[in-house]
Amino acid sequence: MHSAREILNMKKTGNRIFRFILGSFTLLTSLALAFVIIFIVKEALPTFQNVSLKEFLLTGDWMPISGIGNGPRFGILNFLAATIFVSFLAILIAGVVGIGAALFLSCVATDRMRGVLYPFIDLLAGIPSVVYGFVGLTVLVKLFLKAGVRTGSCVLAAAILLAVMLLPYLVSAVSETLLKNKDAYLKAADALGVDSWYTICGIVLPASFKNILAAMILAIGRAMGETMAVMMVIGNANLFPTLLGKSETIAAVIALEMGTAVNGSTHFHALYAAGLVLIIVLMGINFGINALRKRFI
Amino acid sequence: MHFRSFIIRLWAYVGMGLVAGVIVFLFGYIFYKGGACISWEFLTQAPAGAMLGQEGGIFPAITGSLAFTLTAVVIGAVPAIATALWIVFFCHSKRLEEILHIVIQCIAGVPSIVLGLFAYSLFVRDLQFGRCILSSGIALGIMVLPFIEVRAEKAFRELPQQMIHAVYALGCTKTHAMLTVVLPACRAELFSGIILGGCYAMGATAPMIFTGAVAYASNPTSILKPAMALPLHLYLLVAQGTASLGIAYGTAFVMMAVILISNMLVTIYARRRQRAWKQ
Amino acid sequence: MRKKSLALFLTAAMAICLFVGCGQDKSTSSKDDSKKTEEAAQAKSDSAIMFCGSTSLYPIMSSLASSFTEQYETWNNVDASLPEKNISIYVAPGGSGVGISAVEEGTADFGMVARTVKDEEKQALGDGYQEFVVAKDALTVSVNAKNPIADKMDSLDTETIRKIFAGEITKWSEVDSSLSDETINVYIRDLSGGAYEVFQKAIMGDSVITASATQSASMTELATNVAGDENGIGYVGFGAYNMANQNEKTLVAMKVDGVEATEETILSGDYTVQRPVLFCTGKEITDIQQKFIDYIFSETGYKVVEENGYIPAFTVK
Repeated sequence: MHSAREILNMKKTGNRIFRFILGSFTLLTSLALAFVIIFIVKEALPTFQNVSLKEFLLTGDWMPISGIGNGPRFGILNFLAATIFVSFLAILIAGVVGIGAALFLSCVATDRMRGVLYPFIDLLAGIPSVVYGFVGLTVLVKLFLKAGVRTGSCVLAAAILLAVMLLPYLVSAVSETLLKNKDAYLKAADALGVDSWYTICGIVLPASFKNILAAMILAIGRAMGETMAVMMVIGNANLFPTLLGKSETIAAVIALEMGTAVNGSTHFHALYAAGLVLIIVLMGINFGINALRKRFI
Repeated sequence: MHFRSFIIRLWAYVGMGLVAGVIVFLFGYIFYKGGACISWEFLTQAPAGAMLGQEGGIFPAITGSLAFTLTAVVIGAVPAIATALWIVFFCHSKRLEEILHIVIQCIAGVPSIVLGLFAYSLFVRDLQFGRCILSSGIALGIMVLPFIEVRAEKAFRELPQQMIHAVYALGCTKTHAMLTVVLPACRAELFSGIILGGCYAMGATAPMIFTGAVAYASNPTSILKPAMALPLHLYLLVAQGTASLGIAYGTAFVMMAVILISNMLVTIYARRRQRAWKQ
Repeated sequence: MRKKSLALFLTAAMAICLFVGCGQDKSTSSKDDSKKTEEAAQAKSDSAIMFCGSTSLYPIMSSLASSFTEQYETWNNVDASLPEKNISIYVAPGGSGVGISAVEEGTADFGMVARTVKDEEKQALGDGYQEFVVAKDALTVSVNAKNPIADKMDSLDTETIRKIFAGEITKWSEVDSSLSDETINVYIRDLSGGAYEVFQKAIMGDSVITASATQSASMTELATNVAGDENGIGYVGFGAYNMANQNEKTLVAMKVDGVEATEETILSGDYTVQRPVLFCTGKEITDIQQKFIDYIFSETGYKVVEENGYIPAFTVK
């Protein structure tokens, strides 16, 4: 038989062990991030022994194979521009449609309808990226081809596809904010005799503006990282992005050319460097949002 | 005044209509085009035919995807839930909590293709795991981790404080409280997080391409060997062109069906648990 | 209290990072050595074969792997002297470049390559380098069957082709004044395809292919693209060309400098824009691997290569 003190101590140790296990897993999570960043940086740095940072970031000349023209050149300007352009365009489209849908969900739909509609819209979030690309290829690209765009694949098609992929996140975030604000203000406005939609348009929307913007900017992060769907409909040409022209995003370049890059060559390291640039841009956006949130909330 | 509110109202209806329309179209289109291809043989046989994939089925891709998803979920969910538990119940410093949240956000921000690159350079190449389910599983696990962690943390935070305090008041240790009260109470959210995280991992192609998914393999036998996967199979079929398009639809059908069924299961289960909750 | 726990946490994190960072090189190299000897020993008895590489060859390999596995199921059914293990053959795509890299790194047994292997690559692969040429593939210069140029002329000379692909000639009317004023849509393979380099050497020389050309991830995709675009032109592989014209004529191949792409001209070498489709390895070939290789070069293999539209580079013994 154990004394009360002994039992207490056993429990304390048990507690400590459990806490230690949980703590180590938390540490593991942080280490995972550290490892990812360290490895990408490690593989990316050798690029800059052969290519200057300026040339890498500011030229659009990407020719990784030697023996053509004047040697291998690595400039990701077009890819970077395409990534940013497509993401912004996608957010714009998703924003317009998404805020509308969020308005419906928060201000028109009843609680019951919301219970059905939220999971329904969440379905969009579950559809795999390849399937989006597949449908984009068989439907969107064909439509564009009929409309006269040269090969059907273009930046606009990719933006539309990306917008659809971003919709669920945008709609849920925005409708949550709108719902909160609506609950806060609508009753009072009603009591004052103001028409509900006037309130929504004049008070609820503007009040939610900051959160909506934040949600949109966060979604940009998701958009920039998207690989497969965009790759299948954007045409993959090293051109500066124009609305109906072909282009290539950083993620697509990595996916397509990783196969050709000989292990340890500058091409190989350049691809990692491009990935690093992508991560830096994304983290920049994340940190920016967090900092702004702190100041303005 | 009336005009403005009318426009906003119109915006709401049109927006919702578009969103609903797109969802119905996506599922309807794939089910319609892919339905012709689905048969018992398709689901249970290996791909065959002189032009691979023309005949036979996609069974190894299905079992392969299952293997990838399971590995990814185990590798991703365990740290995710542990981290969420630690942050909510054991972390006493606001600063640390903030830092950890930033870490999770950053992990979520790493593009999936970059995770694939990382897993390739560390696990496939440097540690010589080779192309295998484990290498892909780690990449996918890291990808899914923030997804599950955020949901788990939300679930833990939404537990009523009175319940937790009551448990402590009864003299239970934190460990005991976690294991016997918190985790079971959040079963629904954890369950849905894991299932949905699994769907996310199942559909991701980019991390798998260089780390473990192949164009042909028989059913997976060990996690130290590569396997076929549904999304890669779909991508390869599409790349092969018009000849394989029918089968591509069939593969997409299978993936969409899995998504639909998982989402429905999760929603029904969550609804049922919620009713047990509401006081 | 809070400061203390934070300090402890950070110290622990740093310590672990240092540990892992320093230990990394040592542990991986020792792991490498032990793994290599383990692998070598296992390779003899390992029943798994891994192919990796070219997007042109992987469909053939996958098909053969599938029929082989289904026919025999375990190695001892192929040859009684082999162990009773399940047949596991893996075929991974990625491109000719990946093929070479994978064999170099040791992550694949055989690399599938759809171009000639360079000398540096042969050296990097090791002393035991062997290559097995499965088929010959030619790059046709194909246009859409609906393109009126097919009626006007049946041959393009290298210089014209080069100018079209380099973007110096942009409209069909510049090739022949009777043709339409539409822009020429150039389709190419992506950089990881062996075809890109082959075409570069055979036709382009020092010129660079125009940046507005559409990249395709595989030959079949290229064929589909040109077949779907009336103003398209692309270097569709011979195999993909035949497959695209299986049911109805969707592509027309222009002769290059008067030489048509046929089986004879390709095999004889008269048609210059061609490439070997092969797989190679740097290690010694095990008995198990040899059995599968025999299967590839058997009559079944011959038929599969043909059905995929390529010209078998071997005869059945």
